[in-house]
Amino acid sequence: MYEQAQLLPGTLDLLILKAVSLGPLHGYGVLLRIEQITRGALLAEQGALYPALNRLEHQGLLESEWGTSENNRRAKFYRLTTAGRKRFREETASWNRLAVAIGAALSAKPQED
Amino acid sequence: MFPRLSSFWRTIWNRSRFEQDLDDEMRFHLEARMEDLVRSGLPREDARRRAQIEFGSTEAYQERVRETRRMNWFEDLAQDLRYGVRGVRKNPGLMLVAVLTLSLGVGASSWLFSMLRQWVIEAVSFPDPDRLTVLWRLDTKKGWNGGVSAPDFLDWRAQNHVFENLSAWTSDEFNLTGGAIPERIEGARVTADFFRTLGVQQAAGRDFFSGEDQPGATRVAIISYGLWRERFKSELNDTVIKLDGEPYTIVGVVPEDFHFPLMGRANIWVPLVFTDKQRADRGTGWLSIIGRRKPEFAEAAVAQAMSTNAGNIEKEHPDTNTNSGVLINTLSKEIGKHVGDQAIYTAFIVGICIALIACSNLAGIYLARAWTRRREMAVRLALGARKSRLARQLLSENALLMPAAIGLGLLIANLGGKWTTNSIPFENRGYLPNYGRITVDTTMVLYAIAVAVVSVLLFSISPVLEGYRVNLTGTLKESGTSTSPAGGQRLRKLLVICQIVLALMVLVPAGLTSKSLSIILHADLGFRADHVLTAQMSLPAAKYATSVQRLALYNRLLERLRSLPQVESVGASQHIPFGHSSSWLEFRINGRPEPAPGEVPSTLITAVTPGYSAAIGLSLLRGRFISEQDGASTVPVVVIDQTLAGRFFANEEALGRKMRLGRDDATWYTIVGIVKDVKFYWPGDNPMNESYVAFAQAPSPVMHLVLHTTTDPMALASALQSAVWAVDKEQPISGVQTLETRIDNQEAPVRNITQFSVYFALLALFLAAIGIYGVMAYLVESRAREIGIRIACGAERRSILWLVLTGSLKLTLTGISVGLLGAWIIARVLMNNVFGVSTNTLDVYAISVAVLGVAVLLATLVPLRRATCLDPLIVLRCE
Repeated sequence: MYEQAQLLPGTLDLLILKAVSLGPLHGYGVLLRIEQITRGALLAEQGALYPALNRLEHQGLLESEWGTSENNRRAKFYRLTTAGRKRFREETASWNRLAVAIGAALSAKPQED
Repeated sequence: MFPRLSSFWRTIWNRSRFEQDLDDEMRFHLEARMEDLVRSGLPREDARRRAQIEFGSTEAYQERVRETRRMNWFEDLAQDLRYGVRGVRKNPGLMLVAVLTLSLGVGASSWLFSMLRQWVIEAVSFPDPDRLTVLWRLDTKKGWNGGVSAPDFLDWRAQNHVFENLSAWTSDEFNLTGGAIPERIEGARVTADFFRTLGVQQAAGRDFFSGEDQPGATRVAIISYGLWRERFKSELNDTVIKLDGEPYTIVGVVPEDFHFPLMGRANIWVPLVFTDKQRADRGTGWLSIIGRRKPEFAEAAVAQAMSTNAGNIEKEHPDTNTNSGVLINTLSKEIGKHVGDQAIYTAFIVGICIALIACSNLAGIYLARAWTRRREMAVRLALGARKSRLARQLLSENALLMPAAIGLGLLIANLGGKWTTNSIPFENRGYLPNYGRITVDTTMVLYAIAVAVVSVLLFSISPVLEGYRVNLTGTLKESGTSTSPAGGQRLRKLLVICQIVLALMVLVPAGLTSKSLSIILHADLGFRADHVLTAQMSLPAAKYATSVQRLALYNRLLERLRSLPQVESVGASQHIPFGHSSSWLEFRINGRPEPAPGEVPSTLITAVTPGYSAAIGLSLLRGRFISEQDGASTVPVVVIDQTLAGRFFANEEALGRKMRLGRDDATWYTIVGIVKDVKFYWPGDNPMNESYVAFAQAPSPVMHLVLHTTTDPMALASALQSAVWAVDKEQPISGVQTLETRIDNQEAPVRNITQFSVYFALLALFLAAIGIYGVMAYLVESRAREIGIRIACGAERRSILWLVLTGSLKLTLTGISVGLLGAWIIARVLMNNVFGVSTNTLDVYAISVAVLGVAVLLATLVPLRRATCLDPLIVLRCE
């Protein structure tokens, strides 16, 4: 069992974009993919995924379509739009900059004379 | 923006679909999770519970999804509208009244706006209409204006530097022969550059060439699109037509929408070629002039330049041009004068007044409704609703009325437009710009929407204001009905005052035009209008060159007509009253000193046959009328009217005196009779000099036939036509009309305007009375408790009646004084051309006030009576 970590606020959107960028997924699939790529980082509640998915769709970053799931059930599949792809690249870059900056800040040592 | 909006629309319109999808999506998640858990070894029931726990509250997340989708403003609006629809369902009667009232306001004002737009604002359809200028000769001393003489026009043109083009035209009629039947068509003679001045490109063929209005040029003509299509089957290969017996080649066709309202229904245009006599005659003004001002000259500069020109001509030709200046006017103003732009502006204002009355009625209704809903509002405020949110809710509820009211209003406007259009007599239609275009078009729809929106805003203001003033604790503590706060009373009183003001502003103009019409209808015309058939005929100069020939033809024709059954008497006259033609000549009386230039008196003159007097019923006052004895070889005679006799022979015997008629005619005519004045142009004419000479002594080619019949005159129309063709089968006649129709047509504009304004005034009075009744009933009822207590304490009913009445009297008086001021301003600014309105109109104001007073009194007394007759015990118990 991996050590479970709570998601940072605001990171859920980025993770959804990342998950969907690898291929169209239904909501539950997004959850599984996030668990997989974060090695088990957890949402407090799985339901929280849906307001986020809807918000991203509402902003035009995702588009959705009803399709058939792997076990032959009707499911709603989400896919990145062009705008979503662009946003994902921007967010990733900015996250990386932030991570580098925070990492550098945390690893800084007192300067010697 | 787009995906957000489309997702929003999906949310709004596919609400149930959206909810269904959301349910499905979450159920899929739960079931998939459950199956995964089952596969990992959990029992089914545990797996279901675990999946739900991991998911959290489905409902809560669904609500959060809905929140992400919500564009609050629109969502609220949709909610308001649903709420409003519920209100409509609950109270359909109120909504029906509201929609009807609003649509009356929208309809009346859109209709009258369209009239203003088509007939006044967009009257001129030529490019750069502001630069088109119409010029008249102005008598600077008497203030009269009239046509321009040919040499004056040619001088203006020679000295011109302010106009790009200066063109002349004169309306004319032609006998068009060559077809199945000879036809008489309206047209005009124009200088060759006329169409260039207007900026009109011919639809087919070409414009006139520059030299084609010079003597000796080949005869060419341009025809209307309608004539081209109907008579010439839209072909144009050097077609030759005969006009008054002369061949003309058709060279061009004007565009289909070409219309020059000052020419009436002109269908043919030929070059205006001046004869040598016309070129020399500076005394006779007969041309209309239009110029296109150069853009670099302002109107004032043009006026300045033209008055300099006129001054130069006056110095050179003092005998003819003393006191003669130039009157300039833009083409649109000139057309406006013809159409009666002041009356149309008045009508437009009346339309706005009616819309405003409708608004204040609705405000009254909604104010009452807001009062009954004040507890609801107070509760909602107490629960934390913002006031702006409540105001918006009231507004959007009222906005629900708009689509129905706009639709119905446009229907009313369209009907009104048709009615206006149909009421215009056929022969006046040509003088109206955009005739028949008062229909629903984009602009009218936009205007109707604007009126509806402004109306809804206006009548929603008062309930909204009152909504803002809701006193929470007070309202919630109140029990049952009670008196409304003072503020609400003030609003209601203001409404009553507004309605009185607006109603007066409609009533007074209607009264003024009615009075004007009644003066016109009761005017003594000086002749008998009933049982008279008239027609015009014009003998072509080529065929009837000499006066002997003309005389012979008319004598033969009159003889034939006299023998028709049902014909009492027959006459002919060069001009007849309401016949749209007249001649004026200067006259000089034998034995009097020569008047100074510019002071020579003139008289209306017409050549008549002896039978004319009996046929049209002139009243002979003294002496005798033109008789059979007056022939070419006998003493020239003239019959004058009462006015001329009174002005020039006040203290002496007129009979037997001699006058010279016209500047160049040396003949002395002996006065043999005096007849009563005839109203010649329209019933409101001022008295003017009129004279009759014998047709036998001055045979004019153009004559009007006048038949006095014993039965319906129009029954003789075909007999008249055949009689004319019996004497000359190529001779057309035109204007076969009863004299009454001619007078009717002449009076039609005034009569129509009067009718419209009376109907509108009645509508306004009705609306205002209902509105005032509603508000008054409310005001009285809200005092029912007070009245009950007073009666219970022993007050007499009469004193209570008086108490309430004085309150309403104050409102009425305020309204009447403001309304009278408004009406007076309208009358002063916009109605100073209405005949008889400038003088002594006190009675109209008094009657309007009285009518309105009675309406207000009734509107107050009915609810008041109800309140005072109630048993005070019942009233108090009801509280």
